[in-house]
Amino acid sequence: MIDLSSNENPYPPSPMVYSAVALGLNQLNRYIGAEEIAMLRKALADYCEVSEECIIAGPGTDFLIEKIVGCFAMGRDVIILNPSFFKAIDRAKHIARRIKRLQLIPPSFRVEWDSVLGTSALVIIDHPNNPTGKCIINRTQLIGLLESGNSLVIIDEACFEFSGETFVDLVEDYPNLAIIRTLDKAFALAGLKVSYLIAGKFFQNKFSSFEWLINRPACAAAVIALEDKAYAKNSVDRIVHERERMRYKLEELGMDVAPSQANFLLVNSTIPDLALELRKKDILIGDLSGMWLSDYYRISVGNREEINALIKAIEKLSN
Amino acid sequence: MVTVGLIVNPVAGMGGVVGLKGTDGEMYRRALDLGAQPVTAARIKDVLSLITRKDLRFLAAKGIMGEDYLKEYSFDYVAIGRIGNETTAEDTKEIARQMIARGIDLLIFVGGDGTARDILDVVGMDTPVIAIPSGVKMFSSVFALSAHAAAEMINTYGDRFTEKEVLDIDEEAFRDNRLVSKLYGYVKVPDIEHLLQSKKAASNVKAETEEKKHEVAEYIVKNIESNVVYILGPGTTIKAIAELFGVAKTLLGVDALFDGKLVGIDIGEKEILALIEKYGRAKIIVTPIGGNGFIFGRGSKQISAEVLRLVGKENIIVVSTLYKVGALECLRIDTGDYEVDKILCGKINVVIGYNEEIVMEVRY
Repeated sequence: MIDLSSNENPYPPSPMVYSAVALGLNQLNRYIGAEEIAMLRKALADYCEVSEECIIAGPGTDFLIEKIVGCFAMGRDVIILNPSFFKAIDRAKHIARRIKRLQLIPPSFRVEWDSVLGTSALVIIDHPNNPTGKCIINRTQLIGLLESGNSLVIIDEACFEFSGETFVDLVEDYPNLAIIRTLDKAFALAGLKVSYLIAGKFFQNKFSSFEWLINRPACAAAVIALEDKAYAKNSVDRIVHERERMRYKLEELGMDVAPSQANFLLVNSTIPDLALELRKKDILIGDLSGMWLSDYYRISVGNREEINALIKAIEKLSN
Repeated sequence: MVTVGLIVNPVAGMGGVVGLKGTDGEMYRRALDLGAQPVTAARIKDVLSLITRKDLRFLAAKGIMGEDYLKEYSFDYVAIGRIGNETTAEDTKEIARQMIARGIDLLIFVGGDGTARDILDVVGMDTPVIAIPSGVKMFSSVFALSAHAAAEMINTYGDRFTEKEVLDIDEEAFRDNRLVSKLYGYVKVPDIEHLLQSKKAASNVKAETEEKKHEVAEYIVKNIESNVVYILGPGTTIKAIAELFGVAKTLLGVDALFDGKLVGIDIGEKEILALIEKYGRAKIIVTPIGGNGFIFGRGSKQISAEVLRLVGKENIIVVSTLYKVGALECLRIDTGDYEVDKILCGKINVVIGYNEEIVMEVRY
C-alpha cells in the first residue's frame, strides 16, 4: 500500500535519531526527567531563535490544540477555516460561545478577515492551510486580528519548513499570539509525536504542566533531530522538488492543481471516484468530498517511486 | 443471502441523443420516431460485470426490464411481474411494489430522474436503493457516479446508508420556460465513502452525519423562543428538529410550530401569511438542497418573496450538516423578486452542529 493520505514525510528521520531512541529505551522503567525536558526546550528555543520561556512542548499538535481549547474557548467564538483538520475542535462545542467555520472557495480561497475583527474569539488558523496548501492570512491581516477586540490567535505552522513563512517574530510584540509547530513533518518524527507552542505572554504559565507526557525516547529523538538540521533541510528540499515534479505531472494529465506551500497538493479531478479507484490499486489519497467540495483530493508528496506509481495509476484511469 | 431487486427502465436516456428533454410518457414515442436507440442495456451490463459478491439473490423485473441482462451472468434470480410491449412508469411502480411485498434488502434501478421519482413513490426511505444513471435528466443526487461506484455499493453493501435527494424538472416552472429542478423526496443509498477513510480519518465527517443532524436539532430546540411562530421548511434535518419536539412534521411540506405545537401542516403561502399575522413574530428554519444549495425559490415555494420580506433576513435560520453544506460553494436564492433576493444575499451563518456554524455566502 502506498499511503499518500496523511501528509507524512516519505523519508526516514536522521540516522542519529535511531541511536538516541535506543538510548532512551535503556531507561524505560523511569519517567522522563526535568533535565531531559529542559534539554528539549533549549533545543526548540535555539531552533526557533526565541527565548525558552516561550516554548511549551507537548505530545502532538492535536493534544496542544485540545489544551488550548479547554483553557481559552470558554465564552469565545472559536473560529477556524473550512476545511481544516483540528480534531480537538469538536470539544469546544460545549464550552465556546460557538464554533464558526469560514468556508474556503477555490480558486482564491480568500477570507474576509474584517468580518472576524472585534469579536471575542479564539482564532485557529493553519498556515499554510491543510488541504489547500496556501497561506490564507497575511501579516497585515493577522496584525489586524491581534489588535482588534479581545481575540487570541493560534497559528499552526506544521508545514513552516516547507513554506518558509512564519509569524514567530510577532510573538514578542503580541502576547495574544501563539504559534504551534511539530517535528512530525520536516523532522520525520510523526510516529513519536512531539509538537510545541511558541507562546506569547498571555499563554505562558496558563497550562498545567504536560511536558511530562512526552515519552522518553520521543524526547531524546527530538533533541537529536533538532541538532541535525542539515538532514531535515535536505529532506524538505527533496520533498519540495518532488512536489513540483508531481504537480507538473498531474497538470499534464489534465488535473487542476493548486500551487502548494506544504508537503501535499490539492487536486481537482474529473475522474469519477478517483480516491476509490486509486485505493483499488493500493494507493491511498485524501478524499475531501465528505466535508468539502466534491472532486477535490489532497495528495501527500511521496518519494520518487511512490509519485511515479501514482502518476502511472492515474494515467491508466484517464485512458 | 442478500435479496436484490432489479428494475431497468429500458427507454430511459433514449431522448438525449435526439434532443428531447426526457422520455417520460409521450416523449418516448417521439424519441423512437426520431431514431433513438436504447442505452440502458450497456449501463446495467457494465455494473453486473463488476459485481464480485457471491451471496446475492436477484428478484428481477421480466424481460428487458431486468431478467434479460441477468441471464448473461451466473446470478441466482427469479423474474417477477408482467410487462407489455411498451413499458410504462406504472410498470416500474407495480414491479417495485411486488418486490417490496416479497421482501428485498436492496433495490437497484437503472434510469433517470423520472424513474427515480417512480421508485421514490413506492419505496420512500424504507428500502435502500442503488441508482444507475441512464436518463436524459439527472438532477438527482441519488445517482451513482459511475458503474464502478454502483458495483462497489453492491459489493460492500452493509449497514451504513446515507440519504440522497430525488429531484426532477419542476413542470410548473418548465411551462413558464424556466428549467429548474424541484425536490421530490429522499431515498437511502449505501454509503461507500466511509471505505475511503484513511488512517488519519481525513473525511470521517460523513460517518457522523446522522449524529450531527441530531446535534443541530438539539441546538435549535435549546434556543427556541416562545411566542414566535416557526415556519419549518422541508427536509430531514428539519424533520429531526420537529421530532425532538415530539411532533410529526411532513418531510416535503412546509409546517408551522408555535410553543412546541404544530399549528400548520403542509401549508401554502396564504396560510403562512395568516400565521405571521396571527402570531406577530416569525422565524423560518430551512435547509439547503444538496448539490445546488438553494434555500429559497426551489423545493419550498410556499415560503414566498412576500413571506421572506415580512420575516426578514435576521429571522432566517439555515441548518444543515457539514457534509451537505461544506460541499457547496455558496447558498442560492431565486424568489422571483429581485429586491428580496438582494436583501437576502451576502453572508449567512449556517448551523451545522451543537453551537457550531459555518459562514456561507448567499447568491442570487
